Amino acid sequence: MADLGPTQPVLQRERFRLRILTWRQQSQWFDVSYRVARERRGQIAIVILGIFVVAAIFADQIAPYHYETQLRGSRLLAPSWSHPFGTDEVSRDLLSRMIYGLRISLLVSLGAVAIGLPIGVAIGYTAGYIGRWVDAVLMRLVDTMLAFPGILVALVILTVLGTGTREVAITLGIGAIPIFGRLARGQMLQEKERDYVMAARTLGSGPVRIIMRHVAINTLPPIMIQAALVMAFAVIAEASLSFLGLGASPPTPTIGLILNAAREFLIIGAWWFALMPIAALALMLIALNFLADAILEATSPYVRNK
Amino acid sequence: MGSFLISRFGQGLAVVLLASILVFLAMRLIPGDPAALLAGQDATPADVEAVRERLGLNDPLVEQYANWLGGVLQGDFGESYSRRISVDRLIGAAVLPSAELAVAGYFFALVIGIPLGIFAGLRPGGGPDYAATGFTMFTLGIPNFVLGILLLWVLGVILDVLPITGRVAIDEDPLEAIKFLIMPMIAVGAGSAAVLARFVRASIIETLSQDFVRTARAKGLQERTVVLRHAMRNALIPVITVAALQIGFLISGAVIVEVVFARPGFGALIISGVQSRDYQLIQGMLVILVTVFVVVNTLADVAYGLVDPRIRVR
Repeated sequence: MADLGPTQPVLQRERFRLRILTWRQQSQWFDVSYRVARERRGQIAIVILGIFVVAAIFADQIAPYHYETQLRGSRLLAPSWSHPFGTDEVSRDLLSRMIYGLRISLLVSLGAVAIGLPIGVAIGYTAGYIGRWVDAVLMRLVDTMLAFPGILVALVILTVLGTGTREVAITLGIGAIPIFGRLARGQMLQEKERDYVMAARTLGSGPVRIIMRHVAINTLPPIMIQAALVMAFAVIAEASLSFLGLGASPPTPTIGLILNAAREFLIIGAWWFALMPIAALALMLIALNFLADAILEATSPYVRNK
Repeated sequence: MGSFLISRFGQGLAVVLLASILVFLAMRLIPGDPAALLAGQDATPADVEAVRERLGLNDPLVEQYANWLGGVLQGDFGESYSRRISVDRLIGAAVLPSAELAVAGYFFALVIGIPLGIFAGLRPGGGPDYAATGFTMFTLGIPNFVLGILLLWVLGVILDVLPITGRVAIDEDPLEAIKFLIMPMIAVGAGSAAVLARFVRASIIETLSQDFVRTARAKGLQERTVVLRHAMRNALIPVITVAALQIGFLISGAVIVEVVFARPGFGALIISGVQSRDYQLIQGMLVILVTVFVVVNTLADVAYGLVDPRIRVR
């Protein structure tokens, strides 16, 4: 046998690259993820969000203490080796509370997208595809909901549902419906005139098949971008609402509640109490915005070629 | 122009009406009987029934809505269920503090955002451009109420130059009132300033690459004239719409920031309303806020049509 030398690993690498290429051609999901992972901002976002997600999933194993555990004689301690983020006003470990708090942030924002995206996109596609009076009625409704800026629509819905973490997630999900609806409708109006839709129709595909198999795939990137931005908004809104006392109630650890408690202790110099949650929140928000940027850059030929 | 005005105002009116119906219907979904709440704990069923009758809760929904809307149009928002005083008095007391904060925040956003965007757009990659990018990143990560807490810490506690919480009426002691207003103003306006800066920057860069700018340069005009007389005028037109949209976010931002700085106003009122599910109060406040938002946007649309005749045709 001749010495194959380095050929073997090279061959393997080539085979791997080919496999990735086929995957990218087969699945738009994989293609977008692959391109995002090659963008600088996408990489930063993946690393930060990855850490947050792992911490959220394994919160019980990672957090040094339970979020309600009060440690005797450790009131408002500054960060140290035993309490990297310090302790709060009733002697609880702040790092542990934040790990659980960020889990709630993630869950609420995922919940908001899980409710808002499918309903909103379904409404938008329907309005855009059928057009005429269906479009007019649905879009008037969407416009009306969009007339409540920022978290005001959340305040209306929360009045009806009552306060609490689950209610906040549902509320933000409902609030996200018009955002996805408007976007999906615009995409549909653009796509349904395209030749491939005509071709699919000629081949006898029904509207459901055309929408699900053809249009949905082609309008994926903008909807993914919107999903990342809605998640960022939901993280802020959840923090705002629990800060206002309309979200979770104590002792549940949420970023908003921790900040609300921390505010009055800033005056006596307990800076870590407020600054640690603020830093974590900022990291999460920037990661989500970077993710949106990276998807845009990875999928829009116009931006990519600049 | 006339038909353009009529259609824009008509659309705005339709949205406000629909929004008021939406809020009204949403509030009827709240479980529990406001009449029982208002009648008190010791009330007999007959008392509750009397209250229901007095509030008109036994009427058909359409009639209730019509009555409520009729009242609102005459400035009568009904009686707050949780506080048992008229909603218009509650709102009346809250309007001034909130309006002054929103106006100050808007002023801040315009004064910081537009010049920053202009300088960033004139020389992409230059110092102001980096400042604008950094500022945008900062506001993306730090939402308004968090910025409020940071300001409180830096300006109120460490440097100790500004009062931390509360409000002084502007007609009592103007200087003191402004001191109390500075931090909430920045917290409310910073996000919008960043949005405006980014938009103005993009608009200026786009305008500078257009043919008419090249023509202006080619015929030998000074760069200053090209920028100020030709490019800037066109670049700032679309900013009107974005700037108007920001007002809505300023209003909803002010609601939260007010709570951070313990300022009286819509924020405190709306939160107590949500907590006590006082729908008379909530629906009144939201209709006012939505109306303000829609009116401002309609006016912006009209202004846009006035300065750019191409819009009117559509």
